[in-house]
Amino acid sequence: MSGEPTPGLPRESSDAGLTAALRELAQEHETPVPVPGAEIRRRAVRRRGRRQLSLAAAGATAAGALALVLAVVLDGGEETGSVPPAASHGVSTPAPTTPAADGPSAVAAVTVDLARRELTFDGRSLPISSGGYKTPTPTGAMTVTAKAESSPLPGGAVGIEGGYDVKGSWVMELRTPDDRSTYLVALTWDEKAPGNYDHTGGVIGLRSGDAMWLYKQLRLGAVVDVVGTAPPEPTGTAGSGEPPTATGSGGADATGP
Amino acid sequence: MTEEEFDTFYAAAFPRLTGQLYAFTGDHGEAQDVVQEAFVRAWDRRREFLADGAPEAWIRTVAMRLAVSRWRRARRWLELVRRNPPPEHTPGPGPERAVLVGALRELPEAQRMAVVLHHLCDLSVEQVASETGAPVGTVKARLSRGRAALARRLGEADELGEREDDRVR
Repeated sequence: MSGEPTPGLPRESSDAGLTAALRELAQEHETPVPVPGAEIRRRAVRRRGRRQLSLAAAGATAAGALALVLAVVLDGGEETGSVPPAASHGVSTPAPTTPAADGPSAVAAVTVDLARRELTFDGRSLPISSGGYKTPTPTGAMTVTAKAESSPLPGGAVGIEGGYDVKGSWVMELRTPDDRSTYLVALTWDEKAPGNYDHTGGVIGLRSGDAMWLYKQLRLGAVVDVVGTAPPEPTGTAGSGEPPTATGSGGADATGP
Repeated sequence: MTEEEFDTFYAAAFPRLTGQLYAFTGDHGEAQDVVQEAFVRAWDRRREFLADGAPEAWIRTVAMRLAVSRWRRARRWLELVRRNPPPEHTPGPGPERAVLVGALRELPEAQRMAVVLHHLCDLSVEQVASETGAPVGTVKARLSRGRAALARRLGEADELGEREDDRVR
């Protein structure tokens, strides 16, 4: 009776309330086992042989990249004061998550039209290259959650075969409404792709100059609205002689007789 | 621990642990990834794992460390840039939960870990201290700062609802 909680300002009650809320949250998000225990054990056994090799190769570069990205997140976070990392910058709604695509369209300063391979912002329109139909770029209203001027990207990731690493420039991480991520990045290794063909592993690629410009314009929390679907494979440009018509699933790769 | 015992333990503890790790990471895929990885490591290092005497706590510790580690960042990065990450199979939190998740995410990692371990996983302040390798006083400070920040954020979000309550009264 002595510590009656003031309405609106939960103090003494917050401990119990917090525990209860956390429990509920955790319970709601319990995940059933995705693979049987036997599979876990199998992985552990397989791990022994390969551990050093794979971690050294994949971990080192990517970890470096992420450390950089995260450093930028932290810097940016301080600059923008109380703006939550995943919330919309300049939006007055209290909801910390970005509203779905049917939300306030006036807020989406940047629009990416995958069908037209075009990004529009501030009266300019910049050509882009997306993931195409094989590895489609996610769509919806996204927020810029991290920026890095330069960071290594695994090559297979962004659409380069062979698995070697490329340096990504002007990298902007986007968080999708359903809490996934994709990136805006300069396609330094394929400047012809933006506007012409869709070549990435799902990221949105820009020409270097455009990417740099956009990088300087966009702040953490900026909203990027990604709409449409990538057009079918272009005729000719790719040089692989794939039929231009939209083929059924998986039929294209076996160019038979 | 026989293979069957491990499998049983895994089946029982995995869901609970992913829930706890979700509270810590705010991300489903990540929570699942790190818990799964922790189980793989547990089997890989059975001796160490069993010697500890508290298997679930061992897994949780490893999973939390993974969640703040480069391993997770590296893996996540690869996954995200490479291809679409695995589908998030949950409908996503309701508005109230979203506020809590958002508020948790804004806490610095150390505070978030202290809050989750103490308030969700029922560890004492001393246990949290030994778990995180920080002095007891530091843990207390983290807890109180974390709680205050959460209360502030949740209070802000509540204001709309509270106001309506006031009107009724």
